[in-house]
Amino acid sequence: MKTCLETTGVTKVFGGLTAVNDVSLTVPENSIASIIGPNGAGKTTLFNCISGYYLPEKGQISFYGEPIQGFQTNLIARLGIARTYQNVRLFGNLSVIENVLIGQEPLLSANWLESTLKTRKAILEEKQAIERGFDLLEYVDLAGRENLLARNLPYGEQRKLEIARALASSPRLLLLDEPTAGMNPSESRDLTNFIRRLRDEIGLTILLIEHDMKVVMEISDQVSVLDYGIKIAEGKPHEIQNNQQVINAYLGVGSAELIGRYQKRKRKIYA
Amino acid sequence: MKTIRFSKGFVTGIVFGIVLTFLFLIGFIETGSGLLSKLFGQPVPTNAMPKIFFVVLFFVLIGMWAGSSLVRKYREEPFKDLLPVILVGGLTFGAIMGIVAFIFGSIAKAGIDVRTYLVAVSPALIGLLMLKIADPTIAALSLLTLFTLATLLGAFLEYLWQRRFSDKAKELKGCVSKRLIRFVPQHLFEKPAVKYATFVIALALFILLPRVWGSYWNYVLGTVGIYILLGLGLNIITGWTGQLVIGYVAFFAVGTYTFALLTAPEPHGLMLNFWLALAIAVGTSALVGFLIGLPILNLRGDYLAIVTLGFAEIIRILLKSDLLTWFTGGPRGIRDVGGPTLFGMVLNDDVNFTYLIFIMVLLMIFFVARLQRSRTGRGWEAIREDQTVAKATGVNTFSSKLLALTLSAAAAGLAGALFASRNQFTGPEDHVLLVAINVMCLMIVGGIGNIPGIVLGALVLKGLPEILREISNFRMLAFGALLVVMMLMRPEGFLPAKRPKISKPEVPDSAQALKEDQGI
Repeated sequence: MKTCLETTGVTKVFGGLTAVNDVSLTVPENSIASIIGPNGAGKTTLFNCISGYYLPEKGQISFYGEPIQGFQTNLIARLGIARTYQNVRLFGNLSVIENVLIGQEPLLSANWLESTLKTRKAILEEKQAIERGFDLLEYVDLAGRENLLARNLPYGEQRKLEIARALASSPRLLLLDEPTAGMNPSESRDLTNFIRRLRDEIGLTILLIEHDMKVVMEISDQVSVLDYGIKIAEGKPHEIQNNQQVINAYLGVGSAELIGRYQKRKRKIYA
Repeated sequence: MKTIRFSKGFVTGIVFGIVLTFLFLIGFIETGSGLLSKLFGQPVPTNAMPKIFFVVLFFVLIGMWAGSSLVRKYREEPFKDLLPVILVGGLTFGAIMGIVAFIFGSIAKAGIDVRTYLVAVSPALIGLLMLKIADPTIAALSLLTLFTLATLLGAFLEYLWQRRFSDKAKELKGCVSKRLIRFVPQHLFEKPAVKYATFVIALALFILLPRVWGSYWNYVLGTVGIYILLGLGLNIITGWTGQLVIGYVAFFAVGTYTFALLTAPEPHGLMLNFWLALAIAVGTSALVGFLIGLPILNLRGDYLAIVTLGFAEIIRILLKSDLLTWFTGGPRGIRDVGGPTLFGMVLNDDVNFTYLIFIMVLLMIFFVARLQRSRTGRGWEAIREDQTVAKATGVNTFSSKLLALTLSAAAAGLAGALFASRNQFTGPEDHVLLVAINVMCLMIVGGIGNIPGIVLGALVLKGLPEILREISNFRMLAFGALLVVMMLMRPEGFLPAKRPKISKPEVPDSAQALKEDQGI
């Protein structure tokens, strides 16, 4: 299996704070990898390094073997890395279909002169883009909403639209930043299935940040845990669940004993 | 039942009092009553004051306005319950005006000329405020009575209207608009015959009107056309791309001066062909826009606004200075700027110029409308919405913004060249910052980001002042008031931008279409 994304020793420092410290990560092609960790662990910073917002001070990020750190974000989008945001960031005053059309930007090539003169190429390209946009919206269950303003969609659908916009550029790697934040259990179950479908049907590689452990454990092929910018564990979901270091990071040192005591008491009560 | 608060009457009285005092201080009382006088078919001769009757009418109307605004929200209560509030309002309003009249009247009587401190307040104007009554005390008392009565009258009429007609009027309005919509069947517009007929009628109007309505209207509409060009140009960079450009007049100046220098006999004697000079002027403006954008469009925030603002001032001051007199004609400007020619014919008269400007405006509208609906326009609007995300979605924000600024500057260059050619003269005073602010205003008033809105905005802001010549002294005041009212009533402009409806293409299979297109 080919490696899709590889980070080696990535370090990002803000002033005196090392937000990401020497993180090495390997995401194989066509898999779902999750990054988890307590708040402020540096997950989103790592995402921002990958998608080109930040230039890491140290380390290398490579996408299919090519180094990409230091590239501008639009170039990275063109290479095939698309992302969504922790708090939905749509083009609110544009319509739903226009959002998806802008998502296709890396695939389009008609320049402004061709567009104003309506050359054959421009017309055809635009038509295909619109058609693709409609298909995509149907794929994410937003058919019939094409001409609404994006900001008027309900929250759940805004999340879907953001994913549709990310998918519009036919990416090879999709970065999802807390896709199920603010969703109820049934919505997040739907989304879990949807993400799995993306891997199985389109063959996407997905890297996601998620706080909902149920989702993470269900769909991940590989889970990495960050704490204070340091990767403290990596492995299959069930390995992570029993990793003492991870439990300490989330619940504090000594929590194992507490959990044991709590379980004993619970048993006593129910006995 | 709503509780009736006396403080409301008090506050309304104070607000109206302050506003009318302000209008008095800037001399608007004279203009306002002059307008009324004109409305009744008695234009006021220059250097004369309007008749006292119209001043009283003006005061009564404002007093009635105050009264009607007092009772607008109370329609369930009996009128006698409202009476105290109205009286408080009217008395406050009247008292303020009375005090103002008393103060200024006493000062005038003492023989002190206040024009040293308040430029507009001439003794004649004070006389108008005092209703030509000599004694300040009597004048103040009569003003108090006048405003109280006017407020009462206004309140009473408004109350009657609310009770009797308000609901019916609303019903009627809805009914009429529904009828109208039913009366004009929508599908009719889709028939080709109707389309062609509309087109032919529009074309005929377009050809006939400039010949019929005379040179004054040609001049006014020419100005409007030039401002439409400017508005559409500024709309590209500010309305769509969301980058504030304050000194837009700089590009206009570059266009004007390039054109003027190339076609005028002095100071360089180049006298180039109109069309060649037009192209060069547009090109130069575009180049200047490009060069200004190059270093600063990579930055975020309002740097572009500041840099263009500075640039506009630098250009204006340079044009005015003695330093460049040998090159630009200095403060005297450039005379005898060349007019349009076509195959050797000189098309210099106002009718032909109106045609030329109309054609340019239509071309520009066509051009920007297509741009808006294209990949480029979508990219611009994405940058306006969220630049960071637009970039991360693959929009090359730098080159997009640079293109927007270049095209925007080119439009200003075109407008500038037409402006210089039409006036046959240009000078530094044509390029004050106020031009840019006017353009910004018409864009905001009309509806930012919307092409029909900008056309309407130009008609309102450049056409109306021409029609209402009397208030041209108060243009800035009117702008301010209009903008404030706009922001309150229609914050997105007269015609806010709407998203285009995009429907699914009819052709079932795009791959099939592609194959057919390539002839496979």
